[in-house]
Amino acid sequence: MPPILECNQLSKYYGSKMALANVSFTIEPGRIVGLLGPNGSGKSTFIKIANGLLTPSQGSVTICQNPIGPESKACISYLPDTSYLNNWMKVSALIDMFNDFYPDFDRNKAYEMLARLGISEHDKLKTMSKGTKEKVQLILVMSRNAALYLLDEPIGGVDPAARDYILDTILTNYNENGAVLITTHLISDIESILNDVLFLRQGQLVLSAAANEIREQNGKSIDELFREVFRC
Amino acid sequence: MLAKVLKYDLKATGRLLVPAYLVFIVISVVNKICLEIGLRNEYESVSVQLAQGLTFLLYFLTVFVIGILTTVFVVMYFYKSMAGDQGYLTHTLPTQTEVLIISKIICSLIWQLVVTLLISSSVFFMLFGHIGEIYTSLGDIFGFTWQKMLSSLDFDINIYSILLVTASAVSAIMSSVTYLACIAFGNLSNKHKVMSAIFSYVGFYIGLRVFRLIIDIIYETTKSGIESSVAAEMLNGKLIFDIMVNIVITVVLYLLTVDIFKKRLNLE
Repeated sequence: MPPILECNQLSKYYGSKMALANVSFTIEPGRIVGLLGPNGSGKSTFIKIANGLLTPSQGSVTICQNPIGPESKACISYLPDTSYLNNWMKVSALIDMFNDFYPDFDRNKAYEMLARLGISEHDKLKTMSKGTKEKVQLILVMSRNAALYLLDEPIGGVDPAARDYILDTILTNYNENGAVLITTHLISDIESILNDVLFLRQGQLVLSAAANEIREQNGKSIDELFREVFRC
Repeated sequence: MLAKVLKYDLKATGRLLVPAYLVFIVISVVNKICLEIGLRNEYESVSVQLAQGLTFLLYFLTVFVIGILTTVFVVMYFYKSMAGDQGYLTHTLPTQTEVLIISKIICSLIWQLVVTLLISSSVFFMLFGHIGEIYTSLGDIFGFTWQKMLSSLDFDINIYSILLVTASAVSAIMSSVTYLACIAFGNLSNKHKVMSAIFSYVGFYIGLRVFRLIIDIIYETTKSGIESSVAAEMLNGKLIFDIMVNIVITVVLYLLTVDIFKKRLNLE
């Protein structure tokens, strides 16, 4: 099967400041990939380029063999690291909206996940806590049967119990014929679910390997290796 | 997809504008009642006159506020949904950038049309029952009848009216495209995106005013000393020229807006 994501010699500059430099990798179907690196390493920049929210300075990204555009966007289910939904909307209205725009959205799955968390579909986002809002966003994103899930810091800023819920939601709901790319710097929390690992440092890809391979070759966990590679 | 995007654009903007328009309708009705009571106030009660004055002042202010509110709210929505946090959703929808922009333009035009009809209907409602008196009074003041005034004009009022309506429609489209273009220009800046958008608008507005002033000066200079019928034709010609200029500006700004949001989007 062809790769779901192909990143080829990708570079991004903000003025004279380099955010990504000649980054190349592929993501195969059925893989959960961790894009790991400290703050400012270029993780979110890459995710935004893949979603068409930023334009690369050089190189290209293709998703499901499509360049960035409406076809690639239809393949991606994207969770940004910010609150991006209309605060005044009710959860039910958000579900209707996702159902309208994305043919692969499963509204029954969304309602099941909401019921499990005890979130009322009649509540407006603005009445919810930050953590609950993040859960609603995750539910909407994971209710799609997408080819590629791009999750930007899904466990950043939430308590450990919520992290477990988020990871469990990702694992039990993603399309197994698709792929998941998760960015984070909280390695120990997600290490157990990763198939592949990409280390980004100052915009450069310094490591790209299977998670098991890294553990076997280095004799240490990915979290330990991360701390070693990115020691200040 | 355009219908779906437009549906959510109208929902997002209508949630504030519809209640504001309902308040305006209520104020119009209250003002009309006070106006009628005041006109029939045979005893010239001070309290009735005071209430009438206050409601008229409130109505007068609301006419301005409702127009400004529509523009401000629509522009704020444009910014939030295209260049703010909600842009993360807008620009990841599986649709063409052109669809997103055209939907915003249609949404803005719908609200501009609604507010124009609302204000016009409200003014007509205020005058309802007194149009004959106003017609006669104006004739008495200026010493003419409307028929005489219209017949004294050297140009075809129908053609001029059609041109005026066309000019208004083009101008409404141009203003919507201009707001979006300025937001797009602001998006090109790495910092101070809002300020950059505002400065773009001010710069564009001043540039357009200067251009119009030059055209007006050329027109006024050329028409002096020529026959009034020729001057009237020139007036139509000037209006056609204005419409053409606005169409060209609108098309150029639209293409630039599409290009920026498609190829230079910068949602840092």
